[in-house]
Amino acid sequence: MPRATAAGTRRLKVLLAGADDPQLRQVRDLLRGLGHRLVEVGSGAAARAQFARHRPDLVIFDLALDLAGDASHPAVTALRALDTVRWVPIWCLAREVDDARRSAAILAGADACFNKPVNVQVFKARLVQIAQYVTRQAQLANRQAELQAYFETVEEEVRSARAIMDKLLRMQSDHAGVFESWIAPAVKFSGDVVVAERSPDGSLKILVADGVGHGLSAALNVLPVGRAFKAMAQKGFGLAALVTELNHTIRRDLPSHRFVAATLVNVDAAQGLIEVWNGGNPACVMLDRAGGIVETWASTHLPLGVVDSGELDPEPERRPLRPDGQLVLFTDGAIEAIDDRGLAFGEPALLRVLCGAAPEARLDAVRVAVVEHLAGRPANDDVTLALLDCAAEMHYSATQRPAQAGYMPPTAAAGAWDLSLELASERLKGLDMVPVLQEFLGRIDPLWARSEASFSVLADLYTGALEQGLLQLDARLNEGPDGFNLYAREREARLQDLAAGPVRISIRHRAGEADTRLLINIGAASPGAPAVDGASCGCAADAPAPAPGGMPLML
Amino acid sequence: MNVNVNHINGQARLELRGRFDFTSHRGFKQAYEAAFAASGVSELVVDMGNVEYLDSSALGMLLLLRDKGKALSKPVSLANCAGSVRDVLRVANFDKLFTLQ
Repeated sequence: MPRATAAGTRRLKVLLAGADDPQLRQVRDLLRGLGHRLVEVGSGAAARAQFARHRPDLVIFDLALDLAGDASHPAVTALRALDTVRWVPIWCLAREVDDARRSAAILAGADACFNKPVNVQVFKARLVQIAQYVTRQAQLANRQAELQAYFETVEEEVRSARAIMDKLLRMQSDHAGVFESWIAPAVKFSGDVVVAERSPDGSLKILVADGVGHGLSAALNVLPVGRAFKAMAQKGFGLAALVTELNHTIRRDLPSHRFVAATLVNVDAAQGLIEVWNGGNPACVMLDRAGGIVETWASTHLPLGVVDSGELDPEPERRPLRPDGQLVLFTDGAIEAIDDRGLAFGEPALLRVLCGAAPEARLDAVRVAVVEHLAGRPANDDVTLALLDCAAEMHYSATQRPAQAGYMPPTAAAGAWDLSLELASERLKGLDMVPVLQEFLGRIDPLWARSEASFSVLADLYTGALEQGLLQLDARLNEGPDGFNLYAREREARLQDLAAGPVRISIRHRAGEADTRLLINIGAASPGAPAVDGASCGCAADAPAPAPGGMPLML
Repeated sequence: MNVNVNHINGQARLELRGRFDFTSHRGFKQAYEAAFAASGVSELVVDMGNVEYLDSSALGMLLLLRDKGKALSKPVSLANCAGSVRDVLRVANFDKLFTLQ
């Protein structure tokens, strides 16, 4: 901190440039008398050298050193050019200062021009003014340094947060050739998230979610949603259970009204079925190979997190899967991308670009079109596009879907255990039991968890017991163009009215000398409905003996 | 965004003008809180006729307003929703939450 002068003002460092004459000595004595510190030089070149070295608060320059003969003052101009960070006042001294001379000095870069000898009273007053100015400048510099330090800290935290978020949001497993997506954040963090995950039965579950707003707060909104979806999809929960749980997660974990627009899709190629639940996202579309829009799924629900789960209809819309289709999902970011004239890209333009490109080039075509539309401007909102190739998914299902005999376990004789469970009618409503059983069995018996067929076994047994046994649903309802929806609606209606029951689940684990068996029996016990399904799954290194009345599966 | 408030026969009418986005939060909240607090106000109408743009943050603000109205038993409705504003409200299915005049 500079010391104060005798007058109590800030002590200045003054670069004094001039020839030794009585008038300059007057200025020098005056400055010293006031307590300011002087750096004295005798030429323009020396002034420039000492300026860089001492970084003065004020330069006083005698124009007698800078006579170019053409009324210009190149030495003053050169001094002014030196100061790049802060403004250092330059005062000129001259004999017989008139308006022309003062103007020339100011144009050369000076802030003021004083007549020699100086008027002591005025000169002192101006020095006080400069001291105040330098003090204010120092305060601003300190503030700027604080802001810079704060900015650097925030930048470092943002870098760190991004690394964590990127890791947490790395939601997609590898679905090369089947599913691809593009997310362009409007700012450093994306409030959009895309998740694509296979369930144990081989179906593919997709989430395209758009958290309210954008940036970090929106990214924090979608983070728990994406992670919950991924975990539940891996366990095989259906879309209705996923919708309910994600809505509950948002209502429970996020601040009020931080809702999330979301599209959830289940593609079950083995059954030739697609299920879509769209709450708050633009309509997703199915294109054929030629670029025709053959199906759309408009938003028919409120976004997730707006109302309590009990007020939300979690049932997806079910349709037959088009084997040649390409499903396109997007958030509103692409539609709302604004160009330099303030015009939005718009949904019609987006669909035009999609329809005009070959299926394999559609993602890139939209990416190029949106980037061109923005022309370097940042997007208003995060831009997300995701595409699913139905033909590739059908091919995957036919060739890659896990076979029933995927794993040959070592012969093991683990301890025996029994599980017996009865689910009364009220419990059966709104309960997605298969993933719960799968989770339980997976935890108690790692061998079960490692077999991809195990989920299908449970699902078939449970569905048969519930839907054909207890609900007396006719599987032929599934036939016809709207069969999936008819069946689902009928199932839901009968389930809600269900008074009969229970569904009984019995699982017994038996380890013998030659093999290990898991005996699963799931049956409905309503009057008039036979206990339809029973199964035993033998886990053995050699061919297992079929259990009486069951279906043997080698895991 | 600018907000003008008119009171007619117990109805507070908030006329919005401009871009209704995350920057509007404070002004919008102050306007509807003052409108609800004014004596004799029994319902509130948000006139969207001059809204040029509506983002998801604005939808969140409308939800907050709806909650406030419910807590005070003063119904909230939206008026003159057209063009892109209507499209955004429709996609979000806000017609299930608000009366659209």
